[in-house]
Amino acid sequence: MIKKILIILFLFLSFSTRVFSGEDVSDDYLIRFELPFGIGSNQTVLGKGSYVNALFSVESFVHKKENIKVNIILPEGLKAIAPQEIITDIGEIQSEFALRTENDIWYRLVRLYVQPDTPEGKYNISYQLTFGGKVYKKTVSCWIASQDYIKENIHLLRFSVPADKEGNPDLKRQENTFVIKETNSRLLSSFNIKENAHDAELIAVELENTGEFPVTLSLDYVIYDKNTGEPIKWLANLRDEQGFDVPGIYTQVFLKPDQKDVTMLRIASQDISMMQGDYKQKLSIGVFAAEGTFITEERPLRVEELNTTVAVSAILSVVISLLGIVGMLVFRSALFGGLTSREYILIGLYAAIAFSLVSIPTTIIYNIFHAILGPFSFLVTGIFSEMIFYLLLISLIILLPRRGVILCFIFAKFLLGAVILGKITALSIIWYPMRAVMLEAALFISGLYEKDFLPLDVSGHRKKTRIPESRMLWVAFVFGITDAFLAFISLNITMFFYRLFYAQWYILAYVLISGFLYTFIVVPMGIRLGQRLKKVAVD
Amino acid sequence: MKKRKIIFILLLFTAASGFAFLHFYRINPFKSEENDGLYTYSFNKKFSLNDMLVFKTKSEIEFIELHFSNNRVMRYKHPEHDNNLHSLSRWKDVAGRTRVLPVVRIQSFFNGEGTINLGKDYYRYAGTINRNTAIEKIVSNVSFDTVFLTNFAINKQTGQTFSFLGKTGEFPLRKIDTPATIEDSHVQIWERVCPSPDGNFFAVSSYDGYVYFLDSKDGRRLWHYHVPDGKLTSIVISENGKYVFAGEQSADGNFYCLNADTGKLVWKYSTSSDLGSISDSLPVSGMWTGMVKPNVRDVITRGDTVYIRSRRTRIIEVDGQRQKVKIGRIYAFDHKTGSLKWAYPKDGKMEGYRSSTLHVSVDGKYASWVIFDWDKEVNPRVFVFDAKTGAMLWQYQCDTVAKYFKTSTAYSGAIFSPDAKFVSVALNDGRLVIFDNKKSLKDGRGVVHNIISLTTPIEAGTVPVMTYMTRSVFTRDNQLIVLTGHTYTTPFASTKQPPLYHPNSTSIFCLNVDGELLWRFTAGSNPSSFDLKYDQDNEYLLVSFAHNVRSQDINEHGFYVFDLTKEGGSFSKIKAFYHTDGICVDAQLAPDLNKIFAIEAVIDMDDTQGVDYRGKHRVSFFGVKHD
Repeated sequence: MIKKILIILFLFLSFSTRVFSGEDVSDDYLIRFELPFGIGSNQTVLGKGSYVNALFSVESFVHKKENIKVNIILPEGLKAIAPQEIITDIGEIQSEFALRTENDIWYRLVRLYVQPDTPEGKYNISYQLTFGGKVYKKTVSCWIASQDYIKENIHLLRFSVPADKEGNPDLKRQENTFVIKETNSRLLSSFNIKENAHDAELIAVELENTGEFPVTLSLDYVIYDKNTGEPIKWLANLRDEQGFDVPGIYTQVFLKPDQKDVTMLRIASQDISMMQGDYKQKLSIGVFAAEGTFITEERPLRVEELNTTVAVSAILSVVISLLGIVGMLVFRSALFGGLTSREYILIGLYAAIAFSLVSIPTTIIYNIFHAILGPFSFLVTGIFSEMIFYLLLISLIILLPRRGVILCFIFAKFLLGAVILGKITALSIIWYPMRAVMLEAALFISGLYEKDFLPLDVSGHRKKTRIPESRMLWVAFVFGITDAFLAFISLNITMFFYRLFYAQWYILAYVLISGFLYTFIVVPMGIRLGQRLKKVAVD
Repeated sequence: MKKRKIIFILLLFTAASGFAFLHFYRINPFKSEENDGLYTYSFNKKFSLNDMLVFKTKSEIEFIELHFSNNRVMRYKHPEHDNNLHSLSRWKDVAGRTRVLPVVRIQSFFNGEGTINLGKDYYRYAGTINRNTAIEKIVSNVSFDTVFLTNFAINKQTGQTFSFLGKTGEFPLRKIDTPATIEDSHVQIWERVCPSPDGNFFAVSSYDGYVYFLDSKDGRRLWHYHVPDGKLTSIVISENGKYVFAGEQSADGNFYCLNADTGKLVWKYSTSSDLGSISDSLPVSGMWTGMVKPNVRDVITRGDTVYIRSRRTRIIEVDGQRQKVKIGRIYAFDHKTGSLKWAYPKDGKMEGYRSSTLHVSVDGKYASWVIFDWDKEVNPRVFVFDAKTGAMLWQYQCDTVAKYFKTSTAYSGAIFSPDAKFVSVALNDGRLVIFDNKKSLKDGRGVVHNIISLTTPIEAGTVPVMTYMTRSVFTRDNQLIVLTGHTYTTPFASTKQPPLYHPNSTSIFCLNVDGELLWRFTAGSNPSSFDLKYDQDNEYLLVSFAHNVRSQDINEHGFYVFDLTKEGGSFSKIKAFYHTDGICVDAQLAPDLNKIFAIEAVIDMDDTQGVDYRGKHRVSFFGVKHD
């Protein structure tokens, strides 16, 4: 008896499995009924009151012309809307067609409407295929849920801009900021630097489904111009060859019940055609194929341009510094051999004065004026770090117009700052030698080393000759340009090491004022001071 | 000393016995049982995708069944015994859809000897193969004299092939620093292979900037030529076999003519002198650094003329926004001297329009070109020229299916039928426009013979699901072969799975000019190139497949060969499939149809930040055996 029951049960289960599991029973034709993302075991949630286009297809595996008739029976709550020519009076979908050869496929998109009063739950859609006197059947399942259910159970946990590769907020970066590469391909190609083709900004969206049904969501991410409100068009994408006017990124996310998922959106650097500036970004989330969105997140967005010149400047300064240190060691006899003890003491004194009048005040007042003037604090601190510094430097050179003097002076000043104020950083180790080398070069170019710049009298003493204004202007110009260059490099090194970004106008202002102007003004004063001091010294 | 000699002899004997055992075991490795007229061979041997199952029997085979370790079964029935097709196993493809396994006819069944190309058949129909997949048993109505697996499908001494296709050698290419990735929607490795007219040599334009000229018997490199800058994008050998032509994408946009015997430069032309180069464009980065440089993509030889197309993109700024300006020009040179016969536009360049692939009819009489621009909303405009003089013979302005596209495009250009009676243009809106060339020449304007809708987008929710016609070609009987690519949604959707697969994606269609479907083959991957060649008796279509960005199924990488002379549908026409682990970038038939050359490139199958490289970068060459 038990055996009979088991046999019956087995047959029943076999039969029911055949009907409800969707097994093909036709060898020559494959029937498919596909809801978006509802293929195979995936089940998709249809929101009540939503529309969805379902794909219905029949594929042949015979090379033979066959006339086929198909019927689709929809459950209560699902209504076929279009195309009208295949919808019967009783709401069934029906069509007849011919297939001719292997892989020949007939397909139609059937637009379905989910009635708002449909109870939530699982539904079966069944269809049958008739050809050659035989009938074949298949079913597929879908879930129906309400919009309220969606709102209650789908949560946006996180929207991180920018994100790292693991989908976490990129803490090294400023929030809601994109950095695009400087588009100076000539610079890159001249250094034969290969660009990473996969450079991209990443956005992470974490979503959670706390409900009991699976759901497919659509994510829409758009960047808008802050002033006009117009979406920003992407510059290029090789995939964008079909003329679509697509303003942003669109993707789908499938969430099972009690599932969290992090979706990464990726914007390749070359896709961003925006210039540096402020924008708005908006993330919209809705149920796939359903009308409307139920989550919207809007935020400002800042776009910065990464200047590759920064990297090059940093490399250049390191190279110059190294060359300077090596050169100083190799040519130390030529550079320092001719200096007497008295001259060393003079240099030391100047360095101490420079430390007292430049380093200490700059350190003290920097924070105050930075707080008051912000990035324009250099207008005040430059008086010390530029004007007084060059006043002292030039006057020292007038007293000791020789190679190696600047090197000693800067080195002594650096040591004082390092020991007393603890100002020894990677930046300073790179900066000081480079500055010394550049200033020595400026000195050389300006001609202050030349013997006839300050001609000697017959006794070997320097003539008390007033240096012509033209020569002074030339020296001021050379040092001004050099200091402007140094200011530019200094900013770039700071940007490189501290990942800061300065606006182009700010860099220009800093270079012109703190770099060139202050130096240009003060160099002639330094020459005059040096000459006066020389009188005292000689006397 | 004596002891040592004995030990040495024993070792030698053991080794010899072992080899002999393996040798004979290989020939007859089976333990067979007979039961009610059915012979079952226990096999349990792992195989690779390029393996052949070779068998010999004195009896007439009615069927052979292969049972695999992953519970798949493949059944082969001899067509004479059963005209109906029956399938025995079902499997799910990577999208979870059930596919029905058709019966595949036994290949090369003759004189009691047959072969089954596992590579072609197994993964195509029976599921995913991995290293542990094995044939567990073979069932048949006959007893076999010998049954064995081999991947040595061609006898190197005699040249005899066991099957239609046998690999004869390969030439390794240099490692690519940035291999293709599974996320790339198109094949980004522009490498091409071109056999010489006699098939004895072949030329390869490689990613590393080298043109290689090789002996097809053994892959020996005869010479190579390195272009100084940029990357090679096209290669062709002249019809008389004397010259090798190569185009590049570089700041100069050079087109080279090399002596096929020596590899020396005969002449070259810099298309940058006409199209400009990076200096007239705004600075760009990333992939745009290549696109602002002239790119000589299409090289066609007809008689003593070589035709090329060169194109580039210029980036300008208009009202604070960057815009692209496309530039192009087509040229006809004397292949020996490089003197310019004609160009279009005659003076200057075509600016502001994207240009399609250049085509020249087989008889060398006509050349075609299509221009379009979606930014300026200019639909494709078809031009047909006199290929000798460059005079424009007719033109036609296409429209578009406005619902999905503001403008359509026609990247693959306008192709000619072999008799130049028809011209076909594949538009990205899914339509094929077929022109009657004869009538068009008579009228001086394009006369449409037929418009066929093949890959019209479908809407899944609010998202258009699209596919596209990648390439098309006419057969010698004026049937139109059209290849379609993978499914995609909107250009910037980062989902790997579209909501639906477009039913007409990754397929090969054969239609007549009236739009009637003659046969169709649904592949699983994105076609990267094709070649169609014929002689008096044979006609073959060779299609190479790269990766499928959606399914990420590597089993579909490789190339198919279709015998177009066979009656029936695509299943009857499949002659061979060769699987490559990496992507098959290009595959070409020798003009004498006796050899096939294929380029395989490495692909990174990992779509995260890790790497999963598959394949080898190489050119493989094959012998072909005709029925």
